[in-house]
Amino acid sequence: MFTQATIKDVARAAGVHFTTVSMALRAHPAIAIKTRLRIESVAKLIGYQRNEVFSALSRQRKDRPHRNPIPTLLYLGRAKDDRHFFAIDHHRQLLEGATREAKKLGYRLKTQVVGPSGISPHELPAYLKRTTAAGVIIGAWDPILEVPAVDWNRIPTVKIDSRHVPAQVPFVSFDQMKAVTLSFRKLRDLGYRRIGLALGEKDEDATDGLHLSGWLLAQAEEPTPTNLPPLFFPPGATATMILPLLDAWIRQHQFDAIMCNWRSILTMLQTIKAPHAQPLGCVCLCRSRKKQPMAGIVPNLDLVGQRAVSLLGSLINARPEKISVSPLTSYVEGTWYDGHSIKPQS
Amino acid sequence: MRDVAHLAGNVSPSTVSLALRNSPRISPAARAKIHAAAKKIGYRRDPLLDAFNQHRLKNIPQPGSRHLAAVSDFSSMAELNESPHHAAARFGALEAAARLHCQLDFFFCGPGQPTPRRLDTVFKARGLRALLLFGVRADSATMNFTWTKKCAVAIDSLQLTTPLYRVTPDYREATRLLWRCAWTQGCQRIAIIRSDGTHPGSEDRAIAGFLLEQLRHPPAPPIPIFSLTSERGISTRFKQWLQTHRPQVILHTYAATNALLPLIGAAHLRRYVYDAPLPTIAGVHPDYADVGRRAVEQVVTLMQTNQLGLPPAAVCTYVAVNLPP
Repeated sequence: MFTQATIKDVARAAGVHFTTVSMALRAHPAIAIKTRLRIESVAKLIGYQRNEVFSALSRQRKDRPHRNPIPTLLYLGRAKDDRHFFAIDHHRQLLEGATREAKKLGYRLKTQVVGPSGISPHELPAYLKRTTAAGVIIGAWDPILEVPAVDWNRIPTVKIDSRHVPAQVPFVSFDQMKAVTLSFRKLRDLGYRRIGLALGEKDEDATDGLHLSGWLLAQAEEPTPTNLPPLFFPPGATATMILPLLDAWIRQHQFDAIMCNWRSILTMLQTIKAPHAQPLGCVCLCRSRKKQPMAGIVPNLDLVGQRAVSLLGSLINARPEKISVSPLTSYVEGTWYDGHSIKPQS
Repeated sequence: MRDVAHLAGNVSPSTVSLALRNSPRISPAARAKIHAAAKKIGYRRDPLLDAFNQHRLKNIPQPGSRHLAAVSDFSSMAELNESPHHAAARFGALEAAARLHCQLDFFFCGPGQPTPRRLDTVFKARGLRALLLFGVRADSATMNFTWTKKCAVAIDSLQLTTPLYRVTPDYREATRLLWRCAWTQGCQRIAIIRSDGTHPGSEDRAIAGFLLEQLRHPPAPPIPIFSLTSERGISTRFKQWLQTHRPQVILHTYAATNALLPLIGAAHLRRYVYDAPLPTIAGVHPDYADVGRRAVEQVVTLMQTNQLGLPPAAVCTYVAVNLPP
């Protein structure tokens, strides 16, 4: 006699408890993806289908308040000084854009700091296992901090910067290469001839040579390449250690303008006496949005955060077969701001 | 639901339904208003009906505009398909559109075709809001569409100065891979050729990647980049360049192949193409079909989430490339 397949038939065939089947077919995060896929295929083979009407009925109980949960996205923050995570301008801007986009797409964004002030890195795998969040954003983790060992394939994930995190997931960042080529062109148009590039060595490692790529390209486009070597600030160096380095480098190559990804460059240059009569031109490749004398590129960090959520949204909505395979990197261009630190040259 | 619709300022009941389900098709402001109205009169979605509808609609494509326009400033499909890159990207785009239940129509605004302004009127009349910029001439700096009520994603087209969402293969990675591959094979004199401005933006990134790798082991004496131009005397210039710098390997674009072959002649030189559209050509073969697929996925996401207009700053997505085994 023909009978309809029940959840217990699936459980027997898959060799698991029937509650596991129930949870797996509801894509509950507590069930490993491998198990879920296996159970789904067994259910399909047997021809078991969840009864949507029944599950809706059993979900609504008179004595329980009616819940209509808004799906959550988890933003994992990790910084050197994580007690003041929300006070750091960089993270605040990323979060601002991410929150805005999440709201637009109908999600709630929950921020969780990983570190002494939040959950510890060792707890993170367990935390992600029991979270009900629909997706995770790895939010610009500091490369000098240890990376918790997490299986990022369990849950849709997108990372902002954090190249050092070994997750094969979409990646969003600010376009440092474009920042360098654009600044170079602006300085050239103003009449600067000998333009120098100074970078934090750690920062350049973290961007996979994007600043340098832009620099080399800009130099190669010159009719007469000047071949001025860039200066790298050693890791962990303080301003007092850097000043003599910077001074010697500027003297040796007779620069008339400097581009740098550190915001402290203008004050550092002011303490150095320029070799020419005119003050050195100065451009920051990662300027803040606030009004200030320094010209430079403002990385549109809110757009970076926005983009990360938008990518995560499409990752969540895509059914497994709809996800294209090759990993993506997405770069958001910065915006040029004028300032008094550069002047037209005679 | 009708009461809520009335209270929230005479919106349609379907707007209420979508808003209460937090659909991105309704703007956050309107959603907040409707949520407030529903709370005020105590309206709640019927979870039973909800589940039933979800079950019923699971496999039915969603309603709404399902039309995408692929726009090119070439003059015809034949001209577009002349380039195998475009043909492959078109294949991928059509495939993705079909999978997402969308219809992708091609429009041309090149010589002898309607102007972008005329096409704007056509799109408006047909309710087409999603554009895929596809095959843009190397010398075009802008395309005069009205962007405010449209969403657009461009394939390659790095020469356009308009801030756009773009999808393109990662050529910076391609030349880096080729350089490292040639280096591990014992070649020390590796050079790159710049074409005659066929893909200015893409070539810039490719050259940047090459220069970055070269910086690690700079050749002595250095090899300058050779620019292919259509001027006369190019063959003597190339011969001189070969003799002075003695490159063992050159990297170049697929478009430069025809101009390069007669120049190289019998010279002993290995060539790698970093944007090879066919697997028979030595070099990196970016997945152009995947580029097309990605672009369609992005434009459909933009359309479904009502994100119209140009982005505040250009956003470029790079599709990863690999060396063939």
